[in-house]
Amino acid sequence: MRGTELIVVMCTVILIVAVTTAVIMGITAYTPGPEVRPLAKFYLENCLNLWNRAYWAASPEAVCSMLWDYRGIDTLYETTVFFLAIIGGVTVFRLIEVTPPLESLSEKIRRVLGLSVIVRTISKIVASIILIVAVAIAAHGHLTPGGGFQAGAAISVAPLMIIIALSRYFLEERKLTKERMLALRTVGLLTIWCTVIIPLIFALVGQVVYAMQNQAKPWTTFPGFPTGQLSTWIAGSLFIYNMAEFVAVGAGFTLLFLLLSLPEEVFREFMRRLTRK
Amino acid sequence: MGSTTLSKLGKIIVLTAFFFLIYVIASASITLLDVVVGLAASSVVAVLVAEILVKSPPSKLIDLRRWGWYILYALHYFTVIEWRAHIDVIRRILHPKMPINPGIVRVPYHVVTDYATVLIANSITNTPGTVVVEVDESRKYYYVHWIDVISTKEEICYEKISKTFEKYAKRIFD
Repeated sequence: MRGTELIVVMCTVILIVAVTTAVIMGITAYTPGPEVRPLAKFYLENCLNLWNRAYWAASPEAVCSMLWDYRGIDTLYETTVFFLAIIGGVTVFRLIEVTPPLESLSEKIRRVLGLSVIVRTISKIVASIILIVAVAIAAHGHLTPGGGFQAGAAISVAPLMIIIALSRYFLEERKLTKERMLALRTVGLLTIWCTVIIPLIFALVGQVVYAMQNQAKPWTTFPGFPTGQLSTWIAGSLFIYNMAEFVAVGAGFTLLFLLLSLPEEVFREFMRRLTRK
Repeated sequence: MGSTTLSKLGKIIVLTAFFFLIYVIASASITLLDVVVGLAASSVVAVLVAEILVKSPPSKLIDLRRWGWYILYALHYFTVIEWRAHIDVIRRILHPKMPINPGIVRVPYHVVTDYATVLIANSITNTPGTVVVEVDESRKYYYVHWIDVISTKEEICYEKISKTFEKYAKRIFD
């Protein structure tokens, strides 16, 4: 009893000290002022500067221009690392070679596959709408907040809902398998990498080029990616990056959801068979 | 071209129009780029979900009489029916004696399609005082939690809870 009380007292003291410290630091420490700092000023002035195109990124969305142009290399390796993480996930689950056929499942599991007709029907409608809204987010990544990663995260909610409401067998029957998702993921990443090295190809014919960036720099002779006209403003390579990232992230998350949605009983049964061999 | 192919094509065309509308609303712009990307994406999504979303022939999707009943139902439901249900529950909450008599009753339904079943169920749940807690699809019963169980007889429950909804749902979806 004494020990418990002591712990409670100590926790309370630590909490009070921590909160007080945080509040005092919040009052006295440095907080950014309302004025725009030099770095932010550079981005705001240059990301869509039609009159001085020396360092522009052809994107009305400053965040998108930073992500895929000014600090594009960072995003490039970030998405590659994410790909490796997915590969790691697939490796951990390598034991499960195939989804067990529906008939082989026990009656107990088959009964809990899928929810009531209300949830099933509404999930179908909402999941379909999520698919098209996600494309809208990706295709407007260079114009409005959003972009490839956000759209990919959004679209992966659709298969997640379907797995919960209608079970993963609904997806497997419609050929939405983890192998195909891995292929899509690879296509997305390859598209990004190919777009990165397109300017480098022009170096073979004697042009002064750059890698990763969207538009031409003052010292390069490669003209940069086509930005499009007013009603078809695609912001050079940013549109390609956003769409490819959308495919890659969406497929990656869907792959993980498919792996994680295997019923535990199925997994255990598989392990049992494996150890018996 | 067989009739099944034709019917599938019809579904895809109607759904493409529907998804393109949602694309335009979600992105809040309609430039040339939106039309190209939007139509391409809408048709891909429509092909993917056509057989999942629509099981009936596509002529049903563009039946104006069904759409008319749908609009009429929305007007009736969100004004008169919701108003009455809200007033009833508010009265029970504010009443000093709190006159509630809650319980779960069994309500039969007679519609065929999934959409009609869901429309009735969600209409029941969305009005204060009644909540569908379970659907028995094989025997066609809703189990409804009711704030004031007048009677546990199926006919009376049906009369009081879901008769109006079912009348509309039949004309819209069945």
